[in-house]
Amino acid sequence: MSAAAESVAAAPAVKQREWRWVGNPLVLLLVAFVLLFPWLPFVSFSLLGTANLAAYYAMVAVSLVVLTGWVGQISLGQAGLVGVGAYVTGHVVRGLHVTFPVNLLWAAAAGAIVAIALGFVAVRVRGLYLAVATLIFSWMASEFLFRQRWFIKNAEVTLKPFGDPDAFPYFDWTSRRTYFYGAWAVVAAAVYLMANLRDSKTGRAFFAVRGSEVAAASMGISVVRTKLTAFAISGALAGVAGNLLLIRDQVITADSFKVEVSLFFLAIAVVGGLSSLGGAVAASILFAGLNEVFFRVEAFAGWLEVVPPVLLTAVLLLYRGGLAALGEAIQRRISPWTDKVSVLLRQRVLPAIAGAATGARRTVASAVRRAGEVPAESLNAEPEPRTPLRRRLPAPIASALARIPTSRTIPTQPRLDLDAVVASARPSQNGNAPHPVETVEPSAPSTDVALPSGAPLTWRTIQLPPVSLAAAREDRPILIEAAGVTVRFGGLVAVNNVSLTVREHEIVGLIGPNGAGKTTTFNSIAGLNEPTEGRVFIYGHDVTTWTVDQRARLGVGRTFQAIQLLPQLSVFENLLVATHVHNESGLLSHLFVGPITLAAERDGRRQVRRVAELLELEEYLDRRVADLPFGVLRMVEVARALVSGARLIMLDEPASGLDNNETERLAQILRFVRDLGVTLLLIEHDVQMVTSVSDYMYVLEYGALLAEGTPADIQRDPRVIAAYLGEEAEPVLEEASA
Amino acid sequence: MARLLVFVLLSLPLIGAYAIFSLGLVVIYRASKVLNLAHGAMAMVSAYLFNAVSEAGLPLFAALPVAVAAGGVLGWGVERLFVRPLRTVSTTAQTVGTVAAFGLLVAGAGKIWGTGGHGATRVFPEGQITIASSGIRYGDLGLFFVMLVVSAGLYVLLQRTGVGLAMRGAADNPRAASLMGVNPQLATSGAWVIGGSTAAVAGILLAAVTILHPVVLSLQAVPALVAALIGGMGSLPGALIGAAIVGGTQGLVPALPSLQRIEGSAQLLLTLLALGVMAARGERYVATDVRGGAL
Amino acid sequence: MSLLDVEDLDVSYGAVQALRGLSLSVEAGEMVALLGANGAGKTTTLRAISGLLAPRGGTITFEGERIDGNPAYQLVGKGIAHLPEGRDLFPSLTVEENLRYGHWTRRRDRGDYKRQLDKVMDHFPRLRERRTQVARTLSGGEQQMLGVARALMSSPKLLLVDELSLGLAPMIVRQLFEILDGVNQEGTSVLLVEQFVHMALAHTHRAYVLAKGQVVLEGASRDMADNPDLVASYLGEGGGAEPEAPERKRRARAR
Repeated sequence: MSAAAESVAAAPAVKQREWRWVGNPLVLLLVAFVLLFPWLPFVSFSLLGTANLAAYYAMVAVSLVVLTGWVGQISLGQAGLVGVGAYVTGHVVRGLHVTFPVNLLWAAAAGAIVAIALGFVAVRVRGLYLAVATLIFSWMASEFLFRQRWFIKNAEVTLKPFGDPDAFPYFDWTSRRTYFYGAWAVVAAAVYLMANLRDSKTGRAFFAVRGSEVAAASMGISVVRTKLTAFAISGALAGVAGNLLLIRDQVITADSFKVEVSLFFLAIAVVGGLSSLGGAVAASILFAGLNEVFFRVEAFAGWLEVVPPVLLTAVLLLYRGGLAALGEAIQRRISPWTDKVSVLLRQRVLPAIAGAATGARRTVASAVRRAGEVPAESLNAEPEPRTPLRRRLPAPIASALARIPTSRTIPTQPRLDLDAVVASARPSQNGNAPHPVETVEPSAPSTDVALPSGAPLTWRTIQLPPVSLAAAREDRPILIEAAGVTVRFGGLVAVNNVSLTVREHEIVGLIGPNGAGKTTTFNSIAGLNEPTEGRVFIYGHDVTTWTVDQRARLGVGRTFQAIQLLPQLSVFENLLVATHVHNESGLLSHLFVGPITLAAERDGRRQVRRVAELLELEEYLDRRVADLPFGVLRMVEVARALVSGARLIMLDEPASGLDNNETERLAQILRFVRDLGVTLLLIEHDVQMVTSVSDYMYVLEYGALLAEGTPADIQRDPRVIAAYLGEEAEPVLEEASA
Repeated sequence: MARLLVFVLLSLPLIGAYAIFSLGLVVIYRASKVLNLAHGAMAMVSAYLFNAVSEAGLPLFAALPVAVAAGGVLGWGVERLFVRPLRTVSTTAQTVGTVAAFGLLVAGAGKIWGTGGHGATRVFPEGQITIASSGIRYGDLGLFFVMLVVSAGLYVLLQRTGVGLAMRGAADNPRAASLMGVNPQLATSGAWVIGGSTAAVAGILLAAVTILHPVVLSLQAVPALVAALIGGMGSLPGALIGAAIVGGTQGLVPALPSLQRIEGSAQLLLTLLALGVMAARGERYVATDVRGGAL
Repeated sequence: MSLLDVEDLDVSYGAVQALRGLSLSVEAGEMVALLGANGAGKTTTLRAISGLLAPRGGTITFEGERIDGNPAYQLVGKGIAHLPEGRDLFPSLTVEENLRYGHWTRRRDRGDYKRQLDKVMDHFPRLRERRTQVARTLSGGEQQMLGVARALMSSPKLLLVDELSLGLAPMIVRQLFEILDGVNQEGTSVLLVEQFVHMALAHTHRAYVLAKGQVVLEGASRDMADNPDLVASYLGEGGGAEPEAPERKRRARAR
């Protein structure tokens, strides 16, 4: 069986979009239908007009998919952004005489700028408040902005045709047929670009921010930057939609951009399934088609208004996946047939046609998938990546740009080189986990004893050279230092003058009874609260005022007590998000699938597979997080921190919720992770587990440092015992007659 | 001096309507942590019902309670059908649910009663009082007085009765309420009934002095939303202060000649104020602010 | 027949199993301690008893009647009061309003309200001074007092107390425990979760020790205090004794 057929037989557990749609006979039929549509016999003038309306809806719906579906920022104000794009286009056409395709850029820019202003509000307010803010914006736009004469004076335009009527490239935009191709070409381009974006680093950052802002920040993603980017893109797309509207009708009125229209647009996106580009387009066609149907059929007259809210309600309450989920369900039903035809096409028909016909070459997903079919060795021979745009700029501009403070001014620490570490491993003698650390001089030579080929390299099958720690703790280099940290919440002193250090290659445990201030101290180091007094140093930098994502760039990763993974995505996709910091590709490269993006994607995926192999998570890679047991998810969070290349991992109650066996295994894995070269800091309530794993421990009580030392010292310290069990007390009760 | 009077008189009905709306919004928000974007639509439907019932012959003292009760039922219905089922997703999703309810109510009203606006049955008699050289209609003054009555009534209900105590506690801490024997779900439904009824009152009175129209009347609640936001969403006095600010601004602007020519300038001012207040109050995300899932 | 009987209880939070086949009982007039390290399942047990959580398996019986699966607001009327950890007051209500809320299940009996109010204010004179103060402005100790007072307003037969001592100075904790003793002597049974073992053992008749969702030790409080397994269950096998291999966890039932 050929490679292609084999891939079909091994049905993937999680959607592999590129496989489903490319070469899929349904899709080809659809494309053909769309290309021939204006010429088909049954297509009347008004039907064509409806199809053009659908293009306009589709553009707005896509803008909502990006903002609300992918980043989770509810927008009830798209109509305002669309209106801005439309009116600005009017100015540009009449005032500056810019013709159709070019004036799209102006509309996009206008929409993006206004959207970014909204985005600044979004950064400060959450969830439903953001929804209201956008609603108020939409209201203000229709009551104020779209009534100002200076703003709306160019609402009517005459479109100059492009080219010469007698020569070939002649586009008369007032012709519905021409407009059809133009508008849908724009929609197709937008969908193509957004699809690339979704599968790239930017798209993953969007999903991460939607799922858990804290976890996203802990992987180095700047939440502010991500949200503003999303608003900008969504605004640009909405602006383009406004442009399309003006070109279609050659006149616009403020009625098209009222508050109710914003709600209507949201309904389209929700019915489409909110996160799906295909669904958005399908829903747009549906809603536009409803116009046509309701005009034709007498009995339905007057009911058109009711349908959108009814559909919205139905989808929201009954079938939240919307048309996208419906499409997937249908796809699953008919896939046995369509897959067979697809294979035939791919093997016989398509290779004969140049790659451009399928469009497969230039999407990220398919390019990477093809890379997966390439033998493993050639993955190591990476193509020479071109230097990013920024570095190719002339020196004065580049240095001026460099002076704009961004999170990139924090030097990204080099990634922990797992390949080098694993290369120095030996096969494990008796299948046991590696032994605890020894305080001896580094001496173990690395012997290149090969494992049986094909055998996986996991924490169980390999043994790493023991990590050596200097005998005296003071001689070990300091990675984390908390100096006199005090945290006050209102009148309450949660942490009182706590000083601690974490030294290289150590495993440090932070324990204490309930309410002792462990979590607050941990959060001060992680960046989730700012100490009232005292300072925090990581790798020698004073990070006291740094944000979480800035600290992540220093090579600090963390896990969470309440699992912060993205439940609807697969383990693989969740882990891939963590490659964010070391992925050098930029937004343009994501949109147009530049070679930097391809190289970064390959590298990231290899990193994920390497870590998954080490932690024995390979069997779970394609499974959805929501379907997996809790113990596995704890491991996935550890894996995620490793994928980010962190040399310093902070763990928040990693054993919580695990039974005895799982806790056991966790302890062994933590020791293995340390042997990989990672330093660990953990807070835990399971004192037994912490003492078995730590090199050094700190005990807090009532917000202050009670004791510190090796586990053996701590366990025998009477003050610690008293802290946990309380003071000895005289029995008060008489013998009960129980 | 005359100008000041004009401004005051113009603002009174606005403040009255917005105050009643935003009181209802705050009661609902405190109980459910949801912003009821269907509030205006509930008011609108109740106003139409009142009009229909009055025109069918029912006298005022019967038609009013019927319409207000209908508002209460609408409130209960929106919570039961659009908000509660989405409780496992997020409060944002629930707020979008109220958007769906808004759409349905507006579309439904348009279908049943037509989308052209028309005059509504009056509650207060025709005519106006003349103060200095300006006049104010009975209906407008009535709005303001009813607002005072409603505010007082809500205060008594919430602060001085057992039921009110139960509701306030359930809104404050549903788990503790549960442990004290109060069913928090029942308390929440009660809050929505109050919200719907007060919205109905405002809708009926407002329609009488403006217009009965599915969309226009519903959108009158948007300034009330701004008022509630400015007042902080957390307290009833705050809602009243917010309403005073918003109503005052909308009354003030037409009275100032310089701003008079700029159409919609009041709305612009209010938007900037609302966004400013929200942006100033927002805080950096904290460890507990995490929610997964779509919408 | 015990006042409260818990048999073989299984409780999960989504995918995480918190209690695995837990069994315990409380007799009328008893004061019982529920001990164990954090995450062992003590709070979960109380929540299942008071109806805040529905168990997936097992039974809970109160005065002979099956109550597992009933929602909390129904159970309170039967005579169970639960004081959750962290107080769980109504932060924006006043002291007196909080207390009145506590009396909700017996609100028809106005005379009883006055009686209980006076009784409770006698126990906690500080609350009488602050009766019109809003709850969130009270100090930690005062809030805890209010929590206990509010729980007593309904004259419960069984009082569930979760981490009375959390964040409080030792002296206040001692005071609160003395008040609990008094309440117990008047006939209210108490099941209390407590992190501070010795204090709990000193004030109770019997104790259970939980670990990873199961009971690992139980017996008379007097005998428990000297049991080395007790320390081990908190601090590991090495706690207070010779270090041993950490893999095993011994289960001893001392009766």
